[in-house]
Amino acid sequence: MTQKIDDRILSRVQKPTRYIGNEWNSIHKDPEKVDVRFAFCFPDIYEVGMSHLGMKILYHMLNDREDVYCERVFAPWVDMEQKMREYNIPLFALESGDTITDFDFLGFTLQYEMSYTNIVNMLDLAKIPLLSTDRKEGQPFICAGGPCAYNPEPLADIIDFFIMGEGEEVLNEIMDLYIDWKKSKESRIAFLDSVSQIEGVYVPRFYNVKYNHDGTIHKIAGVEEKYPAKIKKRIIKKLEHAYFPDKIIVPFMEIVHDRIMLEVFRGCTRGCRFCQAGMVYRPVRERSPEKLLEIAQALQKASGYEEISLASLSTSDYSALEKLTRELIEMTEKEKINLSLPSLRVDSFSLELMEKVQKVRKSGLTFAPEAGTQKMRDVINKGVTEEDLIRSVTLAFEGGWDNVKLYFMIGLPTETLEDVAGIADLAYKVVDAYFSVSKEKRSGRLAVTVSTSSFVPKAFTPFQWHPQDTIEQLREKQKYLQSKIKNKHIKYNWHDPELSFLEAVFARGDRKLSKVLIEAHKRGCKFDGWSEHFDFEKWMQAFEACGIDPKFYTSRNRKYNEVLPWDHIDVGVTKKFLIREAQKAFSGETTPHCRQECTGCGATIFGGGVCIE
Amino acid sequence: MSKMRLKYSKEDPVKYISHLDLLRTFNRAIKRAGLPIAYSQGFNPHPLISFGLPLSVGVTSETEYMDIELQTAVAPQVVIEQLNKVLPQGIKILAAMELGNKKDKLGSAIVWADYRVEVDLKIRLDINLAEHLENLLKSNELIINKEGKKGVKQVDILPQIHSLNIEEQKEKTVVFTMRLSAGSLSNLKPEMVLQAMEKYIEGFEVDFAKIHRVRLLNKDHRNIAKI
Ligand code: SF4
Repeated sequence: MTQKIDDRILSRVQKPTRYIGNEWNSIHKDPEKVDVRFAFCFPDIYEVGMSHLGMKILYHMLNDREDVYCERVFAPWVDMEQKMREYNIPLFALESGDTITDFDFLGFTLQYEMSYTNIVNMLDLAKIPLLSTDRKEGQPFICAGGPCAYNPEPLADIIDFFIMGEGEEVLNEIMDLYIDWKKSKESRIAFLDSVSQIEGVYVPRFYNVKYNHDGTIHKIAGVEEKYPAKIKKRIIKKLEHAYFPDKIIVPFMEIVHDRIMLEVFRGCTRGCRFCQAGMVYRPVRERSPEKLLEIAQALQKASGYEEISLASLSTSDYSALEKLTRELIEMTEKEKINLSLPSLRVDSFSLELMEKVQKVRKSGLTFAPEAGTQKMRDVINKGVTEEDLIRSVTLAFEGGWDNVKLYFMIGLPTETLEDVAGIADLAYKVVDAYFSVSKEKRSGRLAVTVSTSSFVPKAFTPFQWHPQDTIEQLREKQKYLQSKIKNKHIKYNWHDPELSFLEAVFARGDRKLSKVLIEAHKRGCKFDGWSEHFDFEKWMQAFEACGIDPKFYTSRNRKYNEVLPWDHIDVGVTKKFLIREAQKAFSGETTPHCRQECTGCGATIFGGGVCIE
Repeated sequence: MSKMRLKYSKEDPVKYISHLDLLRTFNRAIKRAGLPIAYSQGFNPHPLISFGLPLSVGVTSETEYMDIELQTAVAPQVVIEQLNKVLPQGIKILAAMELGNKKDKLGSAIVWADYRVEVDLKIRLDINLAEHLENLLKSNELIINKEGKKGVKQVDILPQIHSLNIEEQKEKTVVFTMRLSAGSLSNLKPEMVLQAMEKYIEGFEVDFAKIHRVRLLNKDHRNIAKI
C-alpha cells in the first residue's frame, strides 16, 4: 500500500482517485530488485490516458520482465498541478508514488498534437531539463512513440529518441541494450549512439537539418555515415502471435473507455486520402476470431469488467466479423455482460446485430460520409455514396432508430461552397428518408446531428502537400453551412477553427517548432485540447516571440519535390504512391481498397498482413 | 437464493474513491471471484448488492456493511476468502454471515455511528478544551451553517450528537471520539461537529482532520450486525 501524497493535497483536489493508483491488476515491484525504472507517460489526465489500448499492452509487457518496473504517469489536472507546485512535489509515478526525476526512462505516447505542451509541462514538473541537449548523465532518457511520432520534428529538441511504429518488439530490444549499457558505465551519448542503431529508433540530435533561404528544408542527414538515412517503422508481422496481456488494470473511477477493448486488427484497407492512420498503420493485419475470443475470456475473468467492445479503425472490414460477433454474443450473454459495437457500416446484418446487443435503448447511430457531395467523396476516396447512406438510414429508421449523427469534414482540398451546401442537402435527405418510412414502423422523434471538423492535412497522406483553409475561410464555411440548415430536426455542431489551425501547424511542422512549444509552455499553455484551457492568443504571442510565422506550415502549397520534415522516416507507403494518390484526388479518380486490388503503396516491404494474403 | 451480509474495511488511499466507484469495484470483484451472484429481473439485469450507509470520500472505516444475494448457498468463509483474493488493496472483507429469511434492510437499521477524528490544529490551544466541550454540549443549541441544494441553511446539530470526547491531546493534535446520528433519517457528519467547535471555541482552528468510522449502531446503540 502506498500513499505518498499527503492527505492535505489529495483531499483538496477534484477527483483524487486520479492520483492514488492501487487499482486491481496494477503492478507493484520492489524498485531495488529491478534494473530499469520506466515511467509510461500519457500527456493527458488519468481518465483519458487509461482508455488507451497501447498503454495497457506495453505496461504489462514491460512488467512481465523481471528486470523492468514500468509505472504510469498522467498529466495532473490544473488544480493538482497547482498544489504540487505549491508544496514542491515533483511529478510522481502512480504505482510507487516515487518522483520520476531519476527514473531510467520516461516514455511518452503521442496520440494528438494538442497534447505537446503537456509533455513539456510534465518534464518541467518532473524537474527534468526541457531540452535533450541539456540533460546530464544520470538523468532519464526521454523517448516517445505513437501515431504523432511519424512526424517527430516539432519535438526534436525535446525528446531524446523516438520509436517508430509498433512497440512490442523494439521496446524489449531497447531495454536489453540499456541494461548492458548501464553495466558498461559508458556515457549518456554512448547509449543514444547505440540505440540509434536499432531499427525503428530515431535520435534527432544525430541529424542535421539544413534550410533554404525561404525557410524550407534543403537537406536532412545524419551527422555521421552510421546513422540510418531512413528510419523504418517497426511492425508486428503476425498479430496473432503478438504479445497481449492476460489482464488489464481495472480503474476505480470511470474512464473514457471503461471496458475491455478487443483489438481486432491493425491498419485499415480503405485508403481514405485524408486519413493518416489509414496510411501509417499499413498493412492490415488481423487476429483470428478464436484468438480474440480467447483474449476476451481471459480479460473478462481477470478484470470482472461488465462490457467488451471491438476496437479497430474500421471494424466492419474484419473478414470474420460474423463469426466473431456470434461467439462474443454467446459469451457475453452467458457472463451477463454487455457487448458494445463500434460504428459499423450499417446494413441488415449489422442492424440485426445491434438489435441483439442493444436490448433496451436504441441509442444514436453514427455515420461518417465525411463530405457532402459525390465529387468530394471521390476526391478523398471515401467509398460511400448517397444511395448507400440513404439506404442505411432508411433501414435504421425502419428498425426503430430515430437518432442519427452525421460526421463531415470541411476545408477539404478542392472544396467549394456548393460542396459545403451538399452537407446540408444530405442532412435534409436523411430527414426525408425518415418521413418516407411509414408511421407505424418509425419511432419517436427524429434527431439528426451534423458535426463538422476542419480538415487538417497530415504527414504521410496524399494531402501532405496541400494548404489548409485559413481560419477565416473555415469560419465562413461554418457560417454558410449553418445558414443552410434550417430544420428543427437537424442540429449543427462545429469545431473551433483556431484549434484545427494549430493542430495543422504541428502536424506538418519542422524542428524550429520545438522552441515555440517551450515558449508556449512558459506562457502557460497546457491542455490545449480542452476548450476551457485553449488560449489561442497566448499561442500567437509565442510564435511571435520566436519569430516564426505559423502560416508557413498551414497555408503554403508545397511542391512535390520539396524536402518534407519527415522525409527521413519510412512508414512503408512511398512518396511515389502518395503523389499518385494526390494526382488522382485532384482528377476525382478513386482507388480500390487493398482487398479489391493491391495498388502498390509500398507497405509490402514489411512482408505481412493483407499484402501477402 | 441465499442472502449474505458482509462486513468490510476501507483504508488509505482507497478512501478517496466515491461510493459509486466502490459499487463498481465490488461488482467487478464479485465477477472475478466467480461467486454465483443473483441478478435483478428485467432487460438490464444488475447484480443484487446493497449497501448500508455510504462513506464520505476521504473517510476510512473498519465497519462497513453490504448485503449480497447469491443464486446458490456458499459458505461465509468461502465468500470471504474468494473475495479477498480479488479485492484491491485497501478494501478487505472482515466477516460474513448468512441472513436466512430475515428481511431487515441494512440502511434502515443504522441510527448511530462512532467516529475517531484526528485533528491537526492550526495553532496550539492554551485553553482547557475538555471543559469547553462540556459546556458546549450543555448549551441549548449548536447552530452551524449547512450548505444545501437551496443555499445555506442554519441548523441546530446538538440533538444529533450523542457523545463527544477527547481521547488524546498532544501539541497541535487532538483526537476526538464521537457518536453521531447516522442513517437515512438523520445524519451528521463529523466535519459539521468540527465546524461547530471552530465557531464556538476561540482559537480552535482545524488545519486538517483525518476521519475514521469505527462502528455503525442501531437505535439501541448495539452493533447493527452480529459480525
Ligand atoms: S501494398 Fe497493396 S495490399 Fe499492401 S497495404 Fe499497400 S495497397 Fe494494400
